[in-house]
Amino acid sequence: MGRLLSAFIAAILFVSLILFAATHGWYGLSLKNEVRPLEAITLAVNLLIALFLQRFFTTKINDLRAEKNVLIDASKEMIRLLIELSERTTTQVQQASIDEQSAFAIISGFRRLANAITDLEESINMSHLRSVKRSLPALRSEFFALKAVATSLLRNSGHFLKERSLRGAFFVFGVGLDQAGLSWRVNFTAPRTLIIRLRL
Amino acid sequence: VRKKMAISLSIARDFSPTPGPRTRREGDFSGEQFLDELLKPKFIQARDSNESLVVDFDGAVGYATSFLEAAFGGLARNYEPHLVLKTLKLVCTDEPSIVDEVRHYIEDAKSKRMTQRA
Repeated sequence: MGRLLSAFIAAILFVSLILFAATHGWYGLSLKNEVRPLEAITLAVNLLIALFLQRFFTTKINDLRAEKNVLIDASKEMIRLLIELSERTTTQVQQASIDEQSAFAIISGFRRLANAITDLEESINMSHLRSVKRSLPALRSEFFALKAVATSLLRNSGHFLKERSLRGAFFVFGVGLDQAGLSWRVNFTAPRTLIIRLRL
Repeated sequence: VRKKMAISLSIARDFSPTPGPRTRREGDFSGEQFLDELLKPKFIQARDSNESLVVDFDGAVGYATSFLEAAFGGLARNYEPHLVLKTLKLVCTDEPSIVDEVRHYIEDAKSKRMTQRA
């Protein structure tokens, strides 16, 4: 803003100096006080076009910014829930059995994650991200696969969650996110840590 | 024109707010139990009277994949999947994607039936 103001003041000073010099006939400059209607109309039209373009681009930039903010919020919420769920489920992998409360916490975690994905899908569908829209069904089916692995053995006797299948399912889901073009980098460094970095 | 009536079935109200695993052996309120005790009888009733069966998923804690697959995939393995899809009206505002998920299990049961026949 400060730079723009300085440039504007400099331009005004430069034009004033030129006019002053022309009025006094300095440096061979002269000023002709004549108004040509056609040129005046052309100038007015040019000014109107410039103003219109300025308003158009300002509105468009604001819309894109707002759209991006909505997408970032929806993505962050989804990632937060995914991390929470990953931590909750991977903790249970080590247990000999899962109590009912933990099982329901995991199931309701999947419900919140499913709803967060629905919100993200709706945001993406309303946005300009056409290529991402095409990847959404695949992402949803990977979510179902992840849920199937994590919940299908919740109340079985013996081993409740198979660590390898769960890690594999989280990995596949992460790859799905990446393939959806959402610019997420998913890194599985250890069974209990799921690091997802948002690059939007 | 006679208006088509509907039979309603709320899983949380009529069965349990905490639906469980796939089979009875695995725990209480299983998908298998839900299929045998509620879903199948209500489905037959709806089919025979040419009515819709509105299944309401709201109000429960959540649904494991195994419960949904055992109940709805199981129904589609017992009856014609297209008839199941036509008769059931699935409702879920708590988790709207459940509807797609259940439809997927019914469709999947359909493809499994076709594979078995082949």
